Amino acid sequence: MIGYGNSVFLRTAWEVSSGGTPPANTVAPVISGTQVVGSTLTSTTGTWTGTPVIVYTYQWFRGATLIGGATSSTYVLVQADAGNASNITCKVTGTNAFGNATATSNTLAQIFDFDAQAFITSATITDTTQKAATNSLTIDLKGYSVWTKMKALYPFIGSTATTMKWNLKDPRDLDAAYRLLFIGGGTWDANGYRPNGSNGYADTRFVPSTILNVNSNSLGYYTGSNIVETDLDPIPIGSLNSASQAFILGKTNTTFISRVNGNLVSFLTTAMRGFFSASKQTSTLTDLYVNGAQVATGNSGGTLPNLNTWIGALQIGSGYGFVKNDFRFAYISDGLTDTEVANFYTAVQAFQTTLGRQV
Amino acid sequence: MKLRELTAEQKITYVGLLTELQKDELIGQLYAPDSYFNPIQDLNDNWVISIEEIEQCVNPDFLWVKDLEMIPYEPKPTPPPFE
Repeated sequence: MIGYGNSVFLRTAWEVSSGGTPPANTVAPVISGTQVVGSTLTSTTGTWTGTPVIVYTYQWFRGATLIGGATSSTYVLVQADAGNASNITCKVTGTNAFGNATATSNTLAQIFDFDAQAFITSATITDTTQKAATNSLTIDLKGYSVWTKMKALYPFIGSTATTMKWNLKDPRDLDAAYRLLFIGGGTWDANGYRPNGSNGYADTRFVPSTILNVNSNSLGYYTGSNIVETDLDPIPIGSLNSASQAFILGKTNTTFISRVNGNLVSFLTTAMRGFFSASKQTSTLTDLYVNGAQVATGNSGGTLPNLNTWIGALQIGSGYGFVKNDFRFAYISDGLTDTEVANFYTAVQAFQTTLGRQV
Repeated sequence: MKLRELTAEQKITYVGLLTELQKDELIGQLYAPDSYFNPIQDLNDNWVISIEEIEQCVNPDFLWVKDLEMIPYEPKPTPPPFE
């Protein structure tokens, strides 16, 4: 009625005499569109009765929260909408001279993060649990601000080499995107990738010396295997030119070690399962973490190797230290702080829990 | 001994024996989607591939690996790369 001025009364009186009615919704509005951040959702008005002509206004909601400024029939999804229970709705209000009424649209519950959706598409993931887990993981990593530090993230989901080769950070089928190449024997199932311990590994094509800062780097993996490796020096992930040019995580049945561009840092533990990682944030120190908690720190120096990083063995030009534990997650990144490693573990553990393969 | 003659226990430790020519033919080739053969040398310098590569091979060009002679795997010791 705003803007009608005095004519409102005159018109209302006319409508009353000619049988006008207030708006009433008979079919709820429908919102539709691709449920991915950056995509545009569109709301219909729904079906209404009432005369004279009804004017419609829109208000979009995220759960019970009104989204400020979202008052047109279309709405572009933003990162804050991403989630597996986002519950996006649109309330349409119909107004005429006789009154107004509001109707609520259907709910779009699951909104995918843009990068999560790109990964899901590339890896042809169709399982709803795996899709939800990937979505949450990506959103969590962005929420914890560690996403930007990540260079390669391997969630190892699906059940084949073809679904597990993808880098969540850059899901293109290219060496330059650090998509995995599976070499030699291995198995792929709901518990991830398990190289065979004799000639199997995954080549990340990631060359530490050309990508990472020598004073800021990190790597790690998540395994559910309790396997005691028979090799002298089992190396689940790494590459090495020499003792002072290395990027390694090793795990025997008694010791967790790392050699990140320099001296060996070790921690005595019989724990075989969980999330093992190392991070270097200064020119002199490397920290070791088990399940997000710092367990050791040690001197570090030297340079980074110029060989591809392998998962399942150490790349020394040829293969060394082949392991046969499963890989349920692996990553390479810039150096992470203690808090970032702890948060990273929280996100990865939640991811594994959703998939039912946490330890 | 052929793959089909191995017991479940033997399958854990046996590998497929390759000739030099067969090794050259397999290098860089897919045995299944996104999975590449990786012939390696054992303690006696025999070229071998793993049982996983043989069992999972679906590449029609290399199905002959399923008929390879199987031998016990004896890994070649390699010195630690550091320490």
